[in-house]
Amino acid sequence: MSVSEKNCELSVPESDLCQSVCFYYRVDETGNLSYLSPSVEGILGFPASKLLGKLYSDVFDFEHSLGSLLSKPEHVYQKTFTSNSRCAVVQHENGELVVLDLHERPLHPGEDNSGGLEGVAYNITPYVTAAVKLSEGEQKYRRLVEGLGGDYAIYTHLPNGELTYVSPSVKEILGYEPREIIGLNWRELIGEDFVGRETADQVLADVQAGVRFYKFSVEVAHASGAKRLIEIQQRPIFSPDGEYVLMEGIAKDITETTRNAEEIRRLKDELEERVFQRTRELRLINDQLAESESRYRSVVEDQTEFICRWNEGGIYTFVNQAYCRYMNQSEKQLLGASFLPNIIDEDRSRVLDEIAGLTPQVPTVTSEHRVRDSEGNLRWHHWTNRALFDEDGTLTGYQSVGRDITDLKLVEDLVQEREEHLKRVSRLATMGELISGIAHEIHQPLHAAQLFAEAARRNLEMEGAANIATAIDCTREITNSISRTATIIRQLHSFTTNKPSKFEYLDINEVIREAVAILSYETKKAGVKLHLALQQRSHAIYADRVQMLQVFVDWFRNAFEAMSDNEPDDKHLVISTRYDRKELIVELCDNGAGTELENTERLFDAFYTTKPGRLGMGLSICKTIAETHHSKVHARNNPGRGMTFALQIPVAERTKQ
Amino acid sequence: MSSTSANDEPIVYIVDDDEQVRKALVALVQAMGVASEAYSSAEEFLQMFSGRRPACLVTDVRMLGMSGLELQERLLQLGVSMSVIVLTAFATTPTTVRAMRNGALTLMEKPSNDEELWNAIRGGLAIDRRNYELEQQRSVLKERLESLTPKEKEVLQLMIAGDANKVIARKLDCSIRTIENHRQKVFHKMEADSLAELVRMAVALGIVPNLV
Repeated sequence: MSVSEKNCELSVPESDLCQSVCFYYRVDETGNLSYLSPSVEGILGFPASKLLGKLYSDVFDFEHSLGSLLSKPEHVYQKTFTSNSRCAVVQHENGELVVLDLHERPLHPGEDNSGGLEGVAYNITPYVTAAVKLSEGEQKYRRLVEGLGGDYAIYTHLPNGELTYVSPSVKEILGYEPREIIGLNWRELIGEDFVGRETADQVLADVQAGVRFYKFSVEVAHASGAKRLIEIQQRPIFSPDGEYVLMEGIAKDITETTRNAEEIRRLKDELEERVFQRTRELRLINDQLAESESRYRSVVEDQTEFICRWNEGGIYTFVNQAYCRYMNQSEKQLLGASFLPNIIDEDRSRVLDEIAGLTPQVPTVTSEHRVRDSEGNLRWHHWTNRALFDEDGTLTGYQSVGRDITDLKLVEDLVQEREEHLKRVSRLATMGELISGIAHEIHQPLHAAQLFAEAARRNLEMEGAANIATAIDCTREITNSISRTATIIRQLHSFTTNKPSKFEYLDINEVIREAVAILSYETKKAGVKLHLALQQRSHAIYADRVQMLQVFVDWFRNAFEAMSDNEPDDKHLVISTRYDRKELIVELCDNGAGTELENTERLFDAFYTTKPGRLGMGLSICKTIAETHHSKVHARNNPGRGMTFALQIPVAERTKQ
Repeated sequence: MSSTSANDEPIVYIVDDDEQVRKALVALVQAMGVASEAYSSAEEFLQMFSGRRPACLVTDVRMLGMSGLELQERLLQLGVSMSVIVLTAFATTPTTVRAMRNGALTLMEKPSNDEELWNAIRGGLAIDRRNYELEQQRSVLKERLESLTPKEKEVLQLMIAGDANKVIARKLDCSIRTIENHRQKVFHKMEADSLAELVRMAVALGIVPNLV
């Protein structure tokens, strides 16, 4: 609006306002001011004399934009002023503009004048100021409304529902230009089945019933036909006489918000559902877990390891429930009793030895032994025994954790049985190959014995002291020969025995010599010179004698074979023993052909053989035997000629007595 | 080893690689009152062998190095004859055949039956003593034969063929007188008293009458 643009300052001297509301003036036929009532000074700041004689149109500006403001019909103050008046703007003495409403009438020439006009000028500056202020406020308000964006629209409608104003932001909400819907009944935008329809229909009745503020949600048709959920806040406007004339309100599109809210609610519901589901699953799992735990617990309680504490002499000082159950005795029955009598005689001294060997440095030992259970059945037990020492190193008792390994043993035994069987078959095969040589070996002493016997008889027949002495010598020789036969047969027997493997403390030198004896004929036949380089200080090994023999016999024979193409006087086999920390190493070093195998360990693979007609089980069985003895076997080509086979076996902790 | 080349005393040679068996055999032979020598291998025996004397060889078949059968064959090659008793733990047919073909007196399984070996050794010694004597005689005869001149040998040939001096003289185109001288020398050199003895010696020497 131009008022503010021209930056016109309007002000009314407040004190004068009441008494200086108007002044009277007369204008002569030439247009000069011929009279001014004194009140003009209160309004314009000039005394009447100052203005008299001036041209009426110079003082009163009828074209001023402020004046045109009054001609706008929509202004409220229009009613106050009659349309036969006109506005003029006069500059106050202090420079401010004063708006006057002029009510004038022409003066007819005659009487005491020569024509012209007279009128009353009302000072309407305060109204205009107010109007301008109002106009500015409305501008602001309008700008605010017009500038509304997003989800809000402002509207007004008549009581009959006809829309009289809609802010442009309606376009964004409902897709209509304001002009498209102004003049429509807003109810037409609400379909019959739309949510909130009833509330909308209720509005008029409510207004009449005295409800003055509405807030409700209603679905409104979008230009595209879609539904938008609109939140309505509206307020009826009443005329001064209480008549309902207008409804103004704000519409807020809450479709997205609602949808979002619904989405959020849905998500929340889903989440809750999921949480619920998970909780239920968890509870289920928990239940199952608890169930399996209780089952497990019952299993544990039934099968768990035995725990007991005991004093010297095997007297129980503590037993756990599992052990009681296993022993089929109450805790009371067990405490004070000793477990030693339960261990079978064959194993008892060994167990006692193991326990006696415990020290603060080596406080634990595992033990496997056989026990008679309450029904007299033989059961295998596995115990980890720990000696308990106080700070001074004094033995205070023992604690043992154990379990019944009978079933395990059975399986183990089966596997072991198979292995033993294989080893035995292999020994028998070896024996089959050695047998004619061994028969020769047996026949020799038998033959000798027989000859000595005959010689003795002949000498005795001849009588004479010298002959008797010779005969006695002969009988001595008979004894020797028979012993020799017996020894060979014993070796043979033990080598082919079907007895279960028996671990014992062995002198390795004796074992090696025995192998040499078994192979004495083979050695002779092969023309091999044996060199024994055995350590005199002989630690015991804990091993099965027959299986050890089997390894050495096999290696010897391999060596003999490897040396078969050597010159007759150039077949040397060195058997040596040495100790490397806790291990005994037995090496057989030949000067034979060696192997072309890059990976000499492959020699120990089952069925690997370079000899036609052989199964190739020998060395693989050697390996199996070594493993049974917690030992290792190696084979390597010598730097020069031939090969070395080595057995690395732990030295038994207990040296042989 | 006390033998000398001129030793006629019978001896039992024992070849066995088992010391105890050797000792036992020595004891047994000692009980016979017969000398013995024991060797641990065929090679050792051959190396130490010092000449022919009445002997019985007792050898094992299976030994380190040369076997008993190989030893037997080696002795045959060398022209050394003696009684041979082969001992074996297991008598197989091929072993037996080979041993017997090589002239073994017997092949025995050990341990042998009581007295069997005893008897075999004694038998072997007896046989070889006789053989030895024959050999000795033959070598004497051979020496005598070698002392004859070629002419005398011719005369000997014709004599044992039964020719009369006259026939011999005509065959050799000599005078009867000359033949008679040769005859005398032959009888003398061969130390024969009669034509019959001379014929027996010729048979022993394997001289076949030259029946022209």
